[in-house]
Amino acid sequence: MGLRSETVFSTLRSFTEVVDGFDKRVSQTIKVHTIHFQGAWRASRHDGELPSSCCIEQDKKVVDGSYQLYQIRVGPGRGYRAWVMFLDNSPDAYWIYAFKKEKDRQPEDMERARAIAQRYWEQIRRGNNA
Amino acid sequence: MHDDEDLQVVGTTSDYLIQQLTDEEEGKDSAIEYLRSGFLSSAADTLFYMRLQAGLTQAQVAERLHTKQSAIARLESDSDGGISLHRYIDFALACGMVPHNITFAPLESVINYTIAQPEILYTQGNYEEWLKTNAQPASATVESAVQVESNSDE
Repeated sequence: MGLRSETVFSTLRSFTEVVDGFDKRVSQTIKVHTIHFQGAWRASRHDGELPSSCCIEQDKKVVDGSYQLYQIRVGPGRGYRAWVMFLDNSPDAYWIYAFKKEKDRQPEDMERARAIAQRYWEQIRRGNNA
Repeated sequence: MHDDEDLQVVGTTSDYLIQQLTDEEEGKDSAIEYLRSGFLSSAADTLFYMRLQAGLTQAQVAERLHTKQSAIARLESDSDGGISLHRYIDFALACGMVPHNITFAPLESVINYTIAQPEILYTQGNYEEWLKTNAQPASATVESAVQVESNSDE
């Protein structure tokens, strides 16, 4: 990751399609929380300076690529999870996936988020090598 | 969906938001929900930043409010607006602070502000600065009755 203040956040279709599929209130609340997170992230130097409401957690699973994955609690009651991918040595970050936190479905959704990140990383790598 | 279509970059988060807020059919409803959630999230975040500015830990604020640290953590992360105004002011006072009076602005004008600069926090200062450069009516902000009376006495 580069300097936090210079981070440029983009969204992948895999994120917007899921978020737009939630009802309007949920969808807008998730957007607010992601925008607020972005502002707080850029204003911070480390995770300790992020407001408690951000509820950020780095994915502990080792990734096969130069990126980090974070899960943020978003939405009404912070009952949804948004996944953001930070590229190492780059100001670019991508919102890749979101899901409603449900006891039984969480592992499946987390794996889906990781798979999207890995595919996107491969796409970036192919682009860089082309 | 084609295998890699979901990996397409839609744009920055601002682009994505603006697209929603300017939708002809649902833009206004989306904007209202967005602003509503934004106010509640900011209110919660402000508690966190205020405590940090005061140099206090959650445990110290908890002690001043005769409660537990976990209760303070909950208040700071309550972006759904469950906190009472009474509790809000008590939290501020425990940090040695007092909030400014709340002011209001016309919804349509704030929607325009949000579309113009979605990632700039909607604070009174930022909004008024934007108004200056966007030739909106000066009466756009509504202050509390007490403030208005006080101003008219001058």
